[in-house]
Amino acid sequence: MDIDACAATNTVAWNSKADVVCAARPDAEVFRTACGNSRIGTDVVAAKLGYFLRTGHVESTYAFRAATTSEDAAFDAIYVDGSFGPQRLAFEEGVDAVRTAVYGTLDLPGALGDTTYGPYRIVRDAYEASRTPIVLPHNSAAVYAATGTLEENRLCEEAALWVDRAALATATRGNDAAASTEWAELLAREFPTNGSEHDLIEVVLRDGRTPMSDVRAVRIAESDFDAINEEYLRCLTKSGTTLLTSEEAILVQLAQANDDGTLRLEVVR
Amino acid sequence: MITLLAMSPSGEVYFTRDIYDVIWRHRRLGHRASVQVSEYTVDWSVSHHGYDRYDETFPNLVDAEAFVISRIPTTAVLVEDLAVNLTIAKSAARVMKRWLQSPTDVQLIVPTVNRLLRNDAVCADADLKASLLALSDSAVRTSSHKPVAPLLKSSNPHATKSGSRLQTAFDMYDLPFAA
Repeated sequence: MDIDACAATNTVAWNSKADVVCAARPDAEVFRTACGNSRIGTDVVAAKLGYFLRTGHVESTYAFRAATTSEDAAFDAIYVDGSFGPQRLAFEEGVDAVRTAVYGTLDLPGALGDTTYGPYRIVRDAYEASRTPIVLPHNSAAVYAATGTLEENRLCEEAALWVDRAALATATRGNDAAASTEWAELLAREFPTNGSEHDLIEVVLRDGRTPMSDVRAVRIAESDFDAINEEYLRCLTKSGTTLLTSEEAILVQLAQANDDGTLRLEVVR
Repeated sequence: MITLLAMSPSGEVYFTRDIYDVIWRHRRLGHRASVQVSEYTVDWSVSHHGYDRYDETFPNLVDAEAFVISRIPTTAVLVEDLAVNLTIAKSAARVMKRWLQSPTDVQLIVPTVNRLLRNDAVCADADLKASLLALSDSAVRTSSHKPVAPLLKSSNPHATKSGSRLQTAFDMYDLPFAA
């Protein structure tokens, strides 16, 4: 299916829906404006972030797993095993992104995302991708391919272009946003719906490798930063040789990059 | 009995199933409160986020977490070569305020402050230096530590600059970030 063509035809519909929400809740207009400046946020663990730093690219979970295990093992873990594998495969086949898709959410300043998926949140822009990201009002795999077969018609009717992300976010979450001040987390975290326990407004980058130069910041909660740093500080007081974990090594390197001005490390209280 | 179901490759998060068949998400960092989740979340973490699946049984959660920690990748590094920088030192001040409350951890404050102040950038930050020395003084008052010794300069030039040989060890992590 031509997901880009589908998304392009939905521009009017998403903006009309957002207009309706803003007409009923004028404060939703402020949310809409904020979403217009949103970036892409992806939550990762230290091992995955370390892999990105090594390759110089943000890459798919498949690429990460294939590099650390094997291509067959990566394919099985992601696309075959468990309840989500066939759903992911069906979705990515439908949008021509098998093995390459990288996922994220809309990101507003200060968002920490869902730490179930790692303490680090990579924040980046979309403009370097050769295929612009697609934005979906629901979890791509769990909702549009819940049966293991892609519901192409529904996906086609609901996909949005990156430039329409604010309209989609306002149309779907504008009422919630008007009642909350936690906009950043509203967009960055999953929420349960009838369709999925892990529903979210999802950003899908189909090209796989995107350069780390797109990364504008790496964000981490202060409590997580301090917890990792505490173990590192304990290492400093030892003598001889110490065993440094990958999370400690990456934290120190990110801190140094922050001091050097080559990367903004955002420690959020 | 506790069954470890999956963990992140670097061990920050792991999932267990207890004897009541309840699945829990545990975090080793920051806010550690365990949260009840579904098998759905475990599958999602494996399929979507690259977590490793396990099926290992342990007598209790402490042993399960010990196993998780044992699986975290580590690198042997000379302590003398560990890097210190401003961002690390600023966080250290927060960490050491907590250490003041612990009779064992308070013993670590003076050597940690000494180590941090061997870094040129940290030493040049007057406010940070003052706060570190204040912490050191507080630690001395609440423990049997001697006052901070005169600062020693390492013979290893890498350890006193803002970088260190740690960066060499991890120079595979190039940082082509935008400023």
